[in-house]
Amino acid sequence: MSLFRRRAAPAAPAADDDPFDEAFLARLALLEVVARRTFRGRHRAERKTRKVGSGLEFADHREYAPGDDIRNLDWNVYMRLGQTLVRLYEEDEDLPIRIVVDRSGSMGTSGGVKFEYARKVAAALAYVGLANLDRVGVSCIFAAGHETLPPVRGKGRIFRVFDFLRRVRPEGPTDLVAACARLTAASPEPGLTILISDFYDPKGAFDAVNLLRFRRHEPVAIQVLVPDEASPRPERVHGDVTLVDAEGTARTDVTLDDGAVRRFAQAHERFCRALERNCRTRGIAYFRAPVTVPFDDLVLRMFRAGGLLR
Amino acid sequence: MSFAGWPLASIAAFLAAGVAGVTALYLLRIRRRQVVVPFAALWQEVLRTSEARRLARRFRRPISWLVQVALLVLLALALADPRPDAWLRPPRTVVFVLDAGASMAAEADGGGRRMDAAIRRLEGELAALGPADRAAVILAGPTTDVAVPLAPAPEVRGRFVPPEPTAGPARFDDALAVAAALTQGARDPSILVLTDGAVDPASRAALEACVEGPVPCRIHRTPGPAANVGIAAFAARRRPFDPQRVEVVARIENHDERPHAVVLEVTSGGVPVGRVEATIPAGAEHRHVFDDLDVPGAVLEARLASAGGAPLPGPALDDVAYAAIPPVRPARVVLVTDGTDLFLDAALLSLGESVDVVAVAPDDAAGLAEAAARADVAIVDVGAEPLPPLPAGVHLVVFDPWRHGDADFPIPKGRDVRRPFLTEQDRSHPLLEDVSLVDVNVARGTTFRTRPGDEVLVRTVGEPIVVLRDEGGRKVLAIGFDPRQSDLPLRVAFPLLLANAIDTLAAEAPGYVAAVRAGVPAVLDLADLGLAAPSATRARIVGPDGTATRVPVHDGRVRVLLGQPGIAEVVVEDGEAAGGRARVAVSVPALGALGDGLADRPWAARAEAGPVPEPFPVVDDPLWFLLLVIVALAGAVEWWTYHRRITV
Repeated sequence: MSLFRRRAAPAAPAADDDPFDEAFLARLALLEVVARRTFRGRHRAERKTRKVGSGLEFADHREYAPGDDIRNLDWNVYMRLGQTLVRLYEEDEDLPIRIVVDRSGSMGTSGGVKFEYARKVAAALAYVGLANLDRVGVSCIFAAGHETLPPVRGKGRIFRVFDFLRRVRPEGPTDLVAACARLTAASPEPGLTILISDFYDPKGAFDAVNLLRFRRHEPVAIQVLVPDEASPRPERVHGDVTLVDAEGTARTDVTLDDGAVRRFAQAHERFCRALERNCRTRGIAYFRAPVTVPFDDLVLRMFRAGGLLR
Repeated sequence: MSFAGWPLASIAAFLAAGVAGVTALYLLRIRRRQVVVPFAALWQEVLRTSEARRLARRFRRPISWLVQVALLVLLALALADPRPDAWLRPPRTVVFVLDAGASMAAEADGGGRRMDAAIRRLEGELAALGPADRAAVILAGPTTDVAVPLAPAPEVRGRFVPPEPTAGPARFDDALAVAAALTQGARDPSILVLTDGAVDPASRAALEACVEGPVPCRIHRTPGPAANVGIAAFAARRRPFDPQRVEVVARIENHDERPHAVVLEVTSGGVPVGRVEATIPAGAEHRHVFDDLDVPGAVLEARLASAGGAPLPGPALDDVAYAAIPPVRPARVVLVTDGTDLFLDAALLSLGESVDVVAVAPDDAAGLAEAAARADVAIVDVGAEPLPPLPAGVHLVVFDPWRHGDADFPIPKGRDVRRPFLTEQDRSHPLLEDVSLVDVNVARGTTFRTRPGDEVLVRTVGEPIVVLRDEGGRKVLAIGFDPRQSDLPLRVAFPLLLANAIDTLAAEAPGYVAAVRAGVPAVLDLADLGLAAPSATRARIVGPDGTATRVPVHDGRVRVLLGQPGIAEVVVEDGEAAGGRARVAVSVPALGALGDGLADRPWAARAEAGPVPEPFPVVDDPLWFLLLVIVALAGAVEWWTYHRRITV
């Protein structure tokens, strides 16, 4: 009889536990080795854009405007067509990697394991990027705003990333769209933007990712989940309960039975699949990351999927 | 309903406090648990679709409260100890005396057997007794039987087994005495007699004494029609002078108001040996003697039936009777002889197994005394020897007792006669049946002087020469001449005379041997049954139903009590006759009329039991215990459903 038997809940990290301890660093070192092997032969820190600049490769023509350098006039076109056009050239641009971590209140449930996991994944991705001589920036967003560590370069800067992530605590409501809008407005430079969140946004989970894509970012969605929240154990939520929203004061008195819990699990799965479907149809990389999967396994999966770090 | 537990005020206070406590605990219990969820919007979206189920869930909670309160009410009721009003009356003791006589097998007024009607009433009375009451059941038959000893009423109900009527009469004197003894010192005692009223005067007197006695005594009668036609007597004997032939007598009584034509059939071993048809007037009896029956077996069975085929009134118990034919016992003869009269020896020998002869010398006084003690007849033929002292207690046949003048003989001498002629003889006397003494030559003889009462069988010119005297039961046949001094031994008359003498003198109580009455103690003489065994100490009685009982033998007699009609068997287990068997007939005693002999008795009317009382409600354990059990079970179920979160 399971009357008096209780299943052990997942151990929540203590408040003063350092997520970036020696064990974490050791795993990061291993991750770097694997990443280096994966990207062997590729040019590092080479992200091309369509930006016109002072490069050597011809990019395009445009009408002459007073003040343009006449040395860029394309005399061949003038001779043939009688039009005064200047030549444009491509310029290599060093685009940053932005890692965006959702620090809303929903990331702090279940003892904060989701936020803990998200920080580790963010730190791991940052480390690999820094090791790859990419510029890596880290932002933590919530509905009211965001905190950003400007892009840095060099592996030695990882500790700044650690310090930044250590300081952050999950709180506040979720509004990913507004947060991403503010973030992209503050940092309009496009790049690879990795959004790590549970995507529990009542206003729409995919809209934030779509906004990033609209703002010419290259978004990657990593949905962090706790299995017990996705499919709650019936004995935990059975009967007369008051559902308290982690991000606010909303309280709902309900009576839950096994059927209701089952329906929630099914609805949650539909929610996640909808997000995944929306991402994939738009060519956005999506990764579902249960906290039970080691963070380094997730990162490796991301490497194998490709298109993440190049 | 009454309440023997807590007073009402205490119960009310308990209920009030209990309901308040239950309600408080209930309200605490329904306080919800708080569950922090990261995505409440998704929960709300899911729960919006289960609005209908939510209503059912809300409904379950008041039911849980109601169950709690209902348990509290049951507990309060248990504390009040509810009891039917009948429980609160003082306990009583009732002794039931049930008539188990043969008449209870007859039809009752309204149909069915009288015994069945009485048992129904008895069971109704038992059902009206409460758990604190005590009862006992006594069966009044030929003997008194305590069917169920004094015990609590529920136990008596469980142990009572409806009995069957016995084959004998009901004896209420002993039964009521036992009932009175059981009521000694009992709480609120009473006696209830269940009978059909067809009792003998002794039982009637006992019932009247019980009714008038100190212990309340009621009588419930289950009477029926008084009419009865049955065999009142049936017995058989061997013909006195022809033991090979059997004589049977039967008496049939008609206790009805109309005549009945009946048929009585007698069988032996299934073979019909006799039949008689008769029309018996109302209230009359018919006696019939079957003489000279040729019976192949040793047992006779008589069955009475209506000539018209319709059943005879009354129980069928007395329509069948049994009789055992007495065995042919050889006459025990002691012959006092000097051994010179071979004609006498031969004549006795010719009688075969019908005589058992022991010869004793004239001078063997001790032997004569010992043999005479067991003999039926002593024949004294000493010839020229002096007449020895005659044994007492045995019939005598003495030849020429006054040969010598100084004999000690009870019939005085007349005179000596030379060459007497046997001129007159009483041919009508059984002793001289088929005996012709004409032309018997006798050399010498003596006459006798007779007295009134003596029977002169033969005279010689008017003077008695053969005399039979009865001396207070002992018979003496004096023959005034010596057979050796006559040619009588050469005549056919000699052995006939001896046989007739032995038959006449040895035929003791040549009456009918009646059957033992069923249910009535009887004493049987083993000698009468042909099992002469002076040294026997044990015998086995096998009843008609096959049950065997060992009984002691005292002085050749056994005391038996056979309850079933039929043929019983007596088996001697030790002594000279060890293994010897004899049959005994057991018949139902004459039942007579079966009417209610108590109907016209004022005391019986006063003691009438009245209608059957109402059954006692809730005959067993107190209710409060049952209520506590219900409370415990329901509480356990409610606790389990709560912890399994079925009702919360």
